[in-house]
Amino acid sequence: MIRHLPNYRRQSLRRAMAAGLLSAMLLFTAKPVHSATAAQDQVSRDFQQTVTLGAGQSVHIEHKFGSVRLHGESGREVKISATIRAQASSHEEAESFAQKIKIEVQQTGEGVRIKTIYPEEEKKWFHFSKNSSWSVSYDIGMPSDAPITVRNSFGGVEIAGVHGAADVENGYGTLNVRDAGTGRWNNAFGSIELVGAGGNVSVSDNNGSVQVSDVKGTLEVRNRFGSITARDIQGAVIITGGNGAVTLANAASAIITTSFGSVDASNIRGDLSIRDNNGHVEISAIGGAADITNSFGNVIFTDVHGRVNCTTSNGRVKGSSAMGSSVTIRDSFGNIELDTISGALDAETSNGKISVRDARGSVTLKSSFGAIEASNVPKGIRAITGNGGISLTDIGGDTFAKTSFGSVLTERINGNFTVENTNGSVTARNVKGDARVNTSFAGVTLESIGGRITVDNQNGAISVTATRPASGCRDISLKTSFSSIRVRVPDGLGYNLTARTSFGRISSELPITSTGSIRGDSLSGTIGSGGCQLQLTDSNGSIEIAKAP
Amino acid sequence: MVLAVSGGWIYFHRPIQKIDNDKSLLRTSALKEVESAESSYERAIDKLAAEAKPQLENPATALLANYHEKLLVLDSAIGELRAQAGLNPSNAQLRYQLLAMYQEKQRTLEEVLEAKP
Repeated sequence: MIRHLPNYRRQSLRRAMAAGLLSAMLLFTAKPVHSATAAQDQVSRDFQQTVTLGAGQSVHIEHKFGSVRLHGESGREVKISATIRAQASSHEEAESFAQKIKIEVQQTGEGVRIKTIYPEEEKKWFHFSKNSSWSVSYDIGMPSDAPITVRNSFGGVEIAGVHGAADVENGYGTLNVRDAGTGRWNNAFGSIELVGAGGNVSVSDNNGSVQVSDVKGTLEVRNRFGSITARDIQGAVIITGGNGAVTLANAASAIITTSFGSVDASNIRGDLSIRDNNGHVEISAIGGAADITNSFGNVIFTDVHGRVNCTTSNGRVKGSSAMGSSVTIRDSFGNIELDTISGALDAETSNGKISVRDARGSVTLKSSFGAIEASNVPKGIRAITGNGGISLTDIGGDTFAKTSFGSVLTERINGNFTVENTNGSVTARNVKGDARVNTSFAGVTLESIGGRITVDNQNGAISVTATRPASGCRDISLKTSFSSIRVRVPDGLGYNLTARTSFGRISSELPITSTGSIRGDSLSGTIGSGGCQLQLTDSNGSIEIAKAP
Repeated sequence: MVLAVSGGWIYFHRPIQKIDNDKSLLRTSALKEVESAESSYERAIDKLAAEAKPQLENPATALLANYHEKLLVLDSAIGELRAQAGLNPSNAQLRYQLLAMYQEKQRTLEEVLEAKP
């Protein structure tokens, strides 16, 4: 991070870091000196009380300035243990203040209420000594099945083995929970870590990391500014984040909304929905459908068993092993790269390249200002781009390609082949069906075409080789200007030839039977016994008819 | 009976004792060092904040607007913690949280400056 900053800023950052480190060291290594001076006198007082909790009754705790530890135990007793600490400029002051800190334990019909009461009135007097400070820490054992309510601030909360319903709000401290039940866990300006919950869980944080794992029920997480990590959730998950990374693994289903942070979701048994802004999204092993909306970040998906619907902008999309009924991608300003798609594929981007391999359903690819590449598409393809080249290989069905200012190159098309191009060359090899090509200002080369051939070109050469069909012959119509036409037809097939050009020659390797007047720029006749149309129209270019190899 | 009651009372109201190994309250010498370090931290952050101010006051992107919002939240937390630390200066938890907020603010300001177009 610092390497991008100017030198003077680096120095200030280093000073800040050093200061921070010093503070941390002091906080964690400072050994309390047994006070010899009045200014550092510290005293502590222990508080202990045990009360019995009735069935269905709850424990309520209201505290600040210190930690709270709660642990579930067998039996019906609530064992309250607290340490009250005070520090002042003299032993007497510290002792006096420590004595004034009260711990109130009330038993009501609802259960036990525990509250820390600080001597607010005496504070002013107390603070004549600037170094006076205090804290109270709790360690409470309680029935493991009892509900709890905790309100704490300026201290951490630790809860273990309490399976009753929990309602916990903490602030300015960490919140750590182990082996809980159903609960609502809130924190502000501190992290939350929850491991093990027997029921539904709701977690909310304002500015701190959230980590949740091993939840038997559903999980709902909200975090305003901080990362979220959740694992092993048996129920559905709803995550709302912001300005922090989201990681989710092993959940029944998930709805994730965040911004300015990455999302990583894996092993989701049902549907997954992600709404992100300005973050990288990566998902894998999704049992249901995946619905992704993103911007200014890449999207990567793999091993999705349901349909995929991805809308993003300004980011790359890369996907593989999508086994659902359909994959729909809408992108702008990003490349799309897809591999092994089982269902129908509809992918569109602007200003990005599209690459597809092994797409088993119908395929429609659209781009503007980007190239399109596809291979191994057994059911045919429609590839449309604005200013980009198109390359299609091993297409099992009908193929449509449209572009301008880009070349079209295809190999092994097992259906009909149609191209609409302007200002770009067209090259096709091994087309079993009909080939129909429109282009201009570039050459057209068609080799081993099994069906009818129709080429309409301007200002570009045409070179065509027809293969021998299983039966009969196929019509050929080629038209261009200001360039040559060369056509090769199988020996022994019959054509009705009409060839016309201007400012060029007409030549033929095959014998042509012609009647009437013969001119240098036009020729009508029969090749073999005739049958199919062979129409060759040029201007300002020569025409050559030859045998196919 | 009197002995039992007295014993119980003494147990629950044991005499106040000095602490030898607790870290929940900072001693005066450590506190001075911490306060000094915090001042250095504040000054460094103030410099970063001054550099980032033009971007944050008129955020050109949603990301910068988000950083601005986050810094407001952090400033609110820092204000609250400083107020509490003023009353309870040696409380280690308050100091730790204040330090964490300063670190978060520094990190956020660095990210703002890195996001500069």
